[in-house]
Amino acid sequence: MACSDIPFEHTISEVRVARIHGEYVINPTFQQMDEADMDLMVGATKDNIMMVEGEMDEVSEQELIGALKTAAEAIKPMCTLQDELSKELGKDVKREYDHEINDEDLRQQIKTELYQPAYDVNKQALEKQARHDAFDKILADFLEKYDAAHADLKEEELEEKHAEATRYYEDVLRDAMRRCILDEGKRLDGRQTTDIRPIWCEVSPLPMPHGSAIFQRGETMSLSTCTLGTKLDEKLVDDVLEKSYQRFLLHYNFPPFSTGEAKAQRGVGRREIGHGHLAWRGLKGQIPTDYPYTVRLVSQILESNGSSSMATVCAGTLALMDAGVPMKKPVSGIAMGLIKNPGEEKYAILSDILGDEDHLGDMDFKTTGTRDGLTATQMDIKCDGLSFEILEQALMQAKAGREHILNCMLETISEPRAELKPQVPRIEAFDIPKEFIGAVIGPGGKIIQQMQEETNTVITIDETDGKGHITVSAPNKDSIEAAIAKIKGIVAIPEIGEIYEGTVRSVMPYGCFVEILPGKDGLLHISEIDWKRLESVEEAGIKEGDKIRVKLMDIDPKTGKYKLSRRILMEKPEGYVERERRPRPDRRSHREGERHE
Amino acid sequence: MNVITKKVQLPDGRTITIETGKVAKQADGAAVLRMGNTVLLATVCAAKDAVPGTDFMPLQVDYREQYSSAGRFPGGFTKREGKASDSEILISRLIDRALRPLFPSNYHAEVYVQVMLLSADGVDQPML
Repeated sequence: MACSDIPFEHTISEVRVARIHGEYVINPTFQQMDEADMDLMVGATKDNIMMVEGEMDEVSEQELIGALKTAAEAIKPMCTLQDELSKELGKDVKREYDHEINDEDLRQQIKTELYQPAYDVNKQALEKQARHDAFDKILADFLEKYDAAHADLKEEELEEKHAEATRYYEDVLRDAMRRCILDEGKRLDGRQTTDIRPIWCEVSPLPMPHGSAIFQRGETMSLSTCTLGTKLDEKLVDDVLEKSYQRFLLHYNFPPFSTGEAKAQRGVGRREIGHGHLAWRGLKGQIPTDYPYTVRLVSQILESNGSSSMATVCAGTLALMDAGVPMKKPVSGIAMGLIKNPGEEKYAILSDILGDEDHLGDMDFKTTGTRDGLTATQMDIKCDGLSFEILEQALMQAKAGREHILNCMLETISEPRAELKPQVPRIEAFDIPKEFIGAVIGPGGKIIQQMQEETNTVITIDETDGKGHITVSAPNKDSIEAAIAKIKGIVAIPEIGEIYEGTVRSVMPYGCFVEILPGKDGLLHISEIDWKRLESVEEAGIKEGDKIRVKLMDIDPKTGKYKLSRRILMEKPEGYVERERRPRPDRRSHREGERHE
Repeated sequence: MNVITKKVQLPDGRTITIETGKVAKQADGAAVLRMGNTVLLATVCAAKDAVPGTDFMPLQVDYREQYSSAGRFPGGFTKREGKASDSEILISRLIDRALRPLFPSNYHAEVYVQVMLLSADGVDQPML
């Protein structure tokens, strides 16, 4: 813009300011960002902050101001540089333009005739729809009279006049609303500047989602649901400079019926992405980093009259707690506004602004936070000369508002539910030694696939820090236990003296092979099947596929083969005499100790 | 809040509950319908005036299912509900075709009906 002659009032610049180990750093590197506990983007002119957006790790209002001051200082030279550039290029003289046709008489007429009626409607503190209707009627009545008085004008000319009148009337409304607040401390809906609209919360309004909540504040309502998913539900972030997986998602939807508009439902718009992102930033720090579930919040705005992103933060907190997500601390959010006319001492800071107060006011300053500090912020400022004192005052007023909102929320649900709801899939995570990863997966994934199929679970393995990190997710408790038992079986090292429930894999003339743990077969010698002498394995009624209980007697130190016994678990018949065996000295030395136990 | 609730019983004893006045109050009409653990929200919004020159009934019905209603994550890259699926469109059409003939023939304002599946237990069929 500075290099062009496009009309533009001030040069601006934007910096990222992060706090790293207590120091504010301007435009940090990717590496530095990993250690930051505060991350703010600030856009400002030489004199005024215009835009702020960021997330932080529960910092105080004063710390946020500190970061803003640092950013504002860093931006000044960047603006000066652009001003110099603009001057050198000769672009400080902007192009001529003429985009509006104005009828100053009409403007004046509307101002004198409509200001008072608009002001009076303002003072009546009507609900949104009624107020809009009342405002519209004032203009409609005026236009009717105007048309009658200007019957000589052509239809197109009248239409043009109507468009102009609407524009002037908008200014009148803006003025009326602002004066009413500044002079009488009375807002469009009758509130004092610090008042928060009435709040109503409900948890579990829906039976089947894993968590759900309604948060209503005045005429703004969010219905939020929380879904718990597995590792496979993580969202891949595949950007040019970032590749990662997101384990916490928040989606914000703003259907047209929330404001009563007769419009088609469109795909997700930029506004929805932005609002969702802000709420996401406000909440994400409170989800434990080692939480095994992937978490998705969806906020449906069912009614809207301002601050629906902040309602999303509140409803999101409630839905998370309703689902039993052990969030560290609950988060609430509020949108603050400001009325400040240029050159006038008086100003008003508004808590919990309405849609119209955002539109007609000078600031939209959203903050989210826990009781202990701020977690995210987004601010747009439309006026000049906003001092840091006013900003700090707004932040402190916001803090009081957030506390009030949080208290209302906690009256409905004071902490995360201790138990997940029964329909929630179960997830358990544990580590196994690295060398077993291959055994769990099996050749070509055969073992892991078989386990998943048999137990109706999803099993994932990651190699991290020299260990195998396993996550098992299952639709219910039984199947998760079955799957874990199978994995533990593979990972377990058979121990001498342990009793196993094994499966007969093959039958041989000299005994049978029994799988005691998945992939681990041992020999059950014919002499170890029963106390009485058997001629064949079949005589004991044992066949392939049978499940039998066996005890691991020994592991051959050389070959690692397992020697099993079945008869040791059976009662020894009275008068049993150990049969003489043909001498096999090399092996006998092993057995002797156990044989006579 | 002025909440009105009505119940109707099916021949086999299952109950359908219809509630209005609690949510989506800025729509021209909104109702929450429950049967067992299945919950649907239906809203309707109409334009005040017809677009000049309209000689048909500009009705649009959108039936959408939320994955969270069944405790599931949406698949795909975005992990978010996107374009309507064929089955959602077919159900939208079922609603559309039932509603369309009932508007006065000289009524031409745009009407938008939105039905959202909020909770589903896999027992009762939400499209019914």
